[in-house]
Amino acid sequence: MRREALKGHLDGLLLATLESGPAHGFAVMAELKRRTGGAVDLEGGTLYPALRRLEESGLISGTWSSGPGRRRREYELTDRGHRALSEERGSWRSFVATIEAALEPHAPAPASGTAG
Amino acid sequence: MSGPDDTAALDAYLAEVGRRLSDPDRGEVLDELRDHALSHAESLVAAGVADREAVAVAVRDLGPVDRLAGRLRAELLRPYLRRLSAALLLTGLACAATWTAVLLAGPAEPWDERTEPALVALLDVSGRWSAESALGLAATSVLTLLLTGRMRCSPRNRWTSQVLAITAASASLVLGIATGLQLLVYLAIRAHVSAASLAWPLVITTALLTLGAAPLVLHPLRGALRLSSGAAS
Repeated sequence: MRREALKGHLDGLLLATLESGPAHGFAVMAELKRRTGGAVDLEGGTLYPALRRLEESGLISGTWSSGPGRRRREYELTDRGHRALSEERGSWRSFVATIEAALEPHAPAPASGTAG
Repeated sequence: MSGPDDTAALDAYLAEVGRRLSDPDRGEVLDELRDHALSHAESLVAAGVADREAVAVAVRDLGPVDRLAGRLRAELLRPYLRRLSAALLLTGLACAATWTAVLLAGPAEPWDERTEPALVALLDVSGRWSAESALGLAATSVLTLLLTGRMRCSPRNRWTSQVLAITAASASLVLGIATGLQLLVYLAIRAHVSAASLAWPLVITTALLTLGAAPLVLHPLRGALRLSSGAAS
């Protein structure tokens, strides 16, 4: 998927990935890739600045734990993050419904001003 | 799961990223990137990829060093910039209030319209202008960062807001220092004309409070400058 197509949606995608529970950066990336059938495959240069931004905004919180022989930072949604995700879902569904309605093939409107 | 043994490519990559960050949080950033790359490499090794190739793929998937470091630096800079802007606004308001109180609490000015030194008349106008501008710019910086700290703000808008906030905070800092210098000159003239025209205990107390507030500005300023020097290296 082209990077431009993700613009404006990356934060929502990351929040949705963390909704099921705490995860570290690579797990977030792998889960997002799995959910999208490989279409969204983030590189570190996109993922970690975005996680920093979400943490700074108070939507996720990060804590250090010990991983397999090394330190590991895990992220989880905050209450604000849950609310933001819910709003994001609502606005996305509304957007999709609007666009779908416009894209659906429609029967031509009856011509106005019939002779009589 | 055991990690790959040959991590030379990853070590070199992280060293380059670290060289471009120069931040107290750099250690945590690098630890996190290392964990990410090793987790990725381990998953590839488990799928049958050779150690060295797995590490190479994991490093490649982190992206170019310049892009990763540049984006991280922008995000690391933002909290310092926010703290600096807030400190400039709060200490500016506090200094304006306390020094105004000092001037009002002392005896009347030792001159009238006819005998007022020209420099005092000039300082009166320029001092007010620089103080009000410094506060206005600090408030602009705070608001800009607040408004663009939300979700759905595009990277371009975040970048533009950050440049605007840096410019406003820098100008606010310069004007704040200029205001302080003008105040010092004004106080020196006033005390020279009539030493009794200042409430000295209040002057000394307020000066000490002003100096005590300086670290609130200096600490985030130092962090922001460190990150900026990392960008230049």
